[in-house]
Amino acid sequence: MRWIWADRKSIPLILLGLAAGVIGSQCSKNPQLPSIHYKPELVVFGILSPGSYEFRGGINENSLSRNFFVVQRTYQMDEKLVFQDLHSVDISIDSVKLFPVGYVKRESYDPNAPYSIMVDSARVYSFDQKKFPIRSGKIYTLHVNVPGYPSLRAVTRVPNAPAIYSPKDTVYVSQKSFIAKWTPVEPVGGYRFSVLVKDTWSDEEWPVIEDEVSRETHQYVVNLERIWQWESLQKISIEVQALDENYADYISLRNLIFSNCLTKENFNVEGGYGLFGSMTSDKKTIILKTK
Amino acid sequence: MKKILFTTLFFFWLVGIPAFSQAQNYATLTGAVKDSASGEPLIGVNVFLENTTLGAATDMNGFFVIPAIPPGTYTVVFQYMGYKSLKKRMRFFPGKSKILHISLKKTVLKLGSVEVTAESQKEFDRTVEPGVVTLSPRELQKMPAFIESDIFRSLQMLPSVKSSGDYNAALYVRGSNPSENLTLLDGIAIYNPYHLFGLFSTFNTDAVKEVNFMVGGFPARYGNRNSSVLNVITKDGNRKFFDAEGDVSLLSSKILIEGPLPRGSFSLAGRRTYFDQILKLFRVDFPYYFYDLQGKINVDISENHTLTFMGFFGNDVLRPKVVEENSDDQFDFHWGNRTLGMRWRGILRPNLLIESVGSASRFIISQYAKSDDGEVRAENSITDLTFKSHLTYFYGNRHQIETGLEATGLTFRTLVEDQFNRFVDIKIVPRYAAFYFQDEFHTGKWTIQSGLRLNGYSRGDRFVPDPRLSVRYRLNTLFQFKLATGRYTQFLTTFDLEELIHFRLFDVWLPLDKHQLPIQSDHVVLGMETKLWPEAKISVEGYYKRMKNLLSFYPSNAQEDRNRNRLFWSGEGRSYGVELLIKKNIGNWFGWVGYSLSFTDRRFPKIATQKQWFPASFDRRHSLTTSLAIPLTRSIRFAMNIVLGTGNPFTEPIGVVPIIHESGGVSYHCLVDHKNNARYPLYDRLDISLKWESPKRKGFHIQPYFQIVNALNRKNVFFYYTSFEGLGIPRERKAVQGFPIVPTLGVHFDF
Repeated sequence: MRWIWADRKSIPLILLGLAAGVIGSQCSKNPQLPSIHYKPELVVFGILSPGSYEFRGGINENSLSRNFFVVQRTYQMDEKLVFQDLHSVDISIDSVKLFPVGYVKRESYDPNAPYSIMVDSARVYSFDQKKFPIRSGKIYTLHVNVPGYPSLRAVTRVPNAPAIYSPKDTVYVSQKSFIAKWTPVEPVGGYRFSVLVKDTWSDEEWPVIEDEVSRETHQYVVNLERIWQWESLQKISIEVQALDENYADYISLRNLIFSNCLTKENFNVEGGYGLFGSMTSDKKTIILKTK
Repeated sequence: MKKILFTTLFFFWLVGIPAFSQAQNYATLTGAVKDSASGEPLIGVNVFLENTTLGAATDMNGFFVIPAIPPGTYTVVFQYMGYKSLKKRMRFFPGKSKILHISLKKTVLKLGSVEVTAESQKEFDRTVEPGVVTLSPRELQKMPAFIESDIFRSLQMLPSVKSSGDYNAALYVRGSNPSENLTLLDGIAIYNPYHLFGLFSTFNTDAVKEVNFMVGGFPARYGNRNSSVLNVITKDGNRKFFDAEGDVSLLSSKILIEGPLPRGSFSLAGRRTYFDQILKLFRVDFPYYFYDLQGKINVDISENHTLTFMGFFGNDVLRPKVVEENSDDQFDFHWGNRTLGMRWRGILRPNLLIESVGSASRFIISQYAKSDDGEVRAENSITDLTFKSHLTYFYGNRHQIETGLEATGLTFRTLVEDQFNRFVDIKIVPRYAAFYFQDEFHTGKWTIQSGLRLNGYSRGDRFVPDPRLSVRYRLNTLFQFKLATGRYTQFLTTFDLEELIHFRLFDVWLPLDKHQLPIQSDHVVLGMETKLWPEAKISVEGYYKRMKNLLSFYPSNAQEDRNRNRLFWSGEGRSYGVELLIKKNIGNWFGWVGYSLSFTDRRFPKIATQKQWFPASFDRRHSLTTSLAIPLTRSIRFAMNIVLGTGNPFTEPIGVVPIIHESGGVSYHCLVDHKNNARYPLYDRLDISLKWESPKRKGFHIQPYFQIVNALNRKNVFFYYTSFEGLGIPRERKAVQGFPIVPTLGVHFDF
């Protein structure tokens, strides 16, 4: 057996190959994860809208109505996910300082104490809506400062209010559908169209249809068959909300099918996360007639 | 109007080319070169007139043309590596043409320096455009492989090609997606060239004669793809005697049978995996296998004309047991390619060659489920009916004119039905047609190849011209510079879900609709090639590629988008880099070393998270690859692959963000930094193989081999995933490892 590989001309390339192998062997690693420890950043949520709105902040009533703001922070991956009570929160819109008006609260099972309920809460901020009325077409800037965190800044321009002009007050259900139309407004990022019906046991309305509509479209085809027990209803409400760019982006993103993960680009807040958006709306009651 | 234009072009194409008249004062030598033992056409044989600058190399069909020969007596020389050179004394008369068919005899591989130089010169001269790589069966079969030799795995070792991970054989060429590669099997488009969820390619390497891979700046002959052209040329079949070869590996067995026919030859190759059968012995149910079968029949109509009938049939079958054994429930899932084609290649006139192909190619995904409740069948397919014809005309000694046309009828079908109703039946029937014209002009040290491809597409009534240009400047016999630029247009796309699921199940193709602009890319490639070392070619290439109207699968929630089934958003891409390739394919030891520095970015302005440029998920910044086969003794060959590269980008989770909904409730979402902001750790892998090449005894030749993939057992990261708790609350990140250490063995045989 004669070894023939080492002819002189082969040597440089073989050496180069072996060198690459040696480099490779020195770059050993395992697929263990590097520790991810990012400094938490602030998160703010709030939507401006012309008009006065009342805050309802009971247990599990943690939805935010318009003109109320919550400031939170991000969590580490392995951190307990409870509301954070941040201290010394300085939050203002333009030069108007916001003040605490209550808490959003929620109850959940405490994983550390079986069979016990845990209640945690987050502070809610707002402003005097009569002294500082929000106006359509105007630009507002939000500032949030909390010691130990980067400051937040966000801007919104409140859209002009849309007006529903079709249908008129009555719709015949035999058609099974009707087209709702509204006046286009500027500036706008998109619209949200809702059909609301009243609960039989309470006087509250809740949406049975809620869809996003792009800024170029100013109508929506309401298919009555999408509404449960539509044939027995006597009236419904339709609402069109004109959303600013921030809010429209946020809604379309939130509803995406894929990827639970969000990035900074998903939010229109400088220095952190969250939503500072605005909206205007028009609502109309429609009588449903059988003939 | 466009139809009239195409018809006019077609008319000129039919009647115009033969109307060129050859200069009356010169002679032309045309012919074909074959292997004397098998009758197989030889590609790239160097044919030249001794003591002149006149010469040519044989094309894919073994044809050559030496035009514009001044009258006189010359010695015609035929040289090809591994074959005995042949010289023939011939006399040429003014205006007369000669046709010569030559067979070359194989020699023992002991090359003198003159032959080596001539061979490397041939490789050096063969193409005008940069970025063309040719792989021979020797290179495909003698390098270490993942279980068995594979074309795509070998191509992934080239510096122009990136991979998205170990478990994916798809080719990401210079910043483009795999759907932008044109994959041809003997000139017929293959739409899903993968088996086993992208782990292997469809092609059986035993049946391959040559692999020709153009990574960018390719000529006007090819179109409807933006990135690269992979042309897999299979063996015609032995015209002299019956021959068989095969391979038995842990994954599959494959066999190739070839032999003569009364006026031609045939070849038939087949392969089937048997993991399912082996595991059944151990009472393990592995309900998956794949198989493929390909065949070719060549009929020599005359010495100058050959008809070839080709067929390919491949299938992946997944048939899991759904429930308990006594149940009649069935689930059957299979997908695969079927192609049929006919090719005519011939010498129409001494200076006019023709190649025409008529083909039908279908990729079908089919699911069938049967239970007590009934039966459901779902099917998705793409069918391609293509006719294309290509003429090569030699005008004087300075012009090689190539022209052709291509007409493709596509059918995309989606069907869902049970035994009573057909719920979904969508059929889209777009048409694609192209006409191209190209002139290769030789003058002194310069060769200029300029071409134009006119593309027509029925949906949206598109008419798109694609100009192409390649320039070669030969400084001397050692150095040459190449430049290629051009526009490339594509009217098809695929669902690309790899970023979400990390595996390539199969490609689901879709035609662009009338609202979508064609996907386009502009290439600029500048290269330098040298053969400072006579047995090896060194090339350095820089490239820049700009892509527009790229599509990203991203379903929107807006009502009108849903109504329009808007699933894709358009964006743009850019890719640039430098590549170095040192390739030695002559001599006892062979292989290559490649390095690339590359940048690939994407941007989709309508997608909130992708508005800014971000690195594509296959953007491997630095990549060093080595593939070497070295004879240790006369009968034992050692081979190794080394891959060392920057980790691919991924989007790193950095925490959790609470989202307080205006409609009620709080949800927690995984928070990531910018898209693809982080990279997996450095990737490195060493594969080795030992092959015993025993001498042939009684006509039987066996080659046992042993190979280890990832011999150093590196724990490369394939991808990270986040584990969720409760209602989608992200809690922990975990890693999925790439290839573990995989030792395999097998036997290659021929008789």
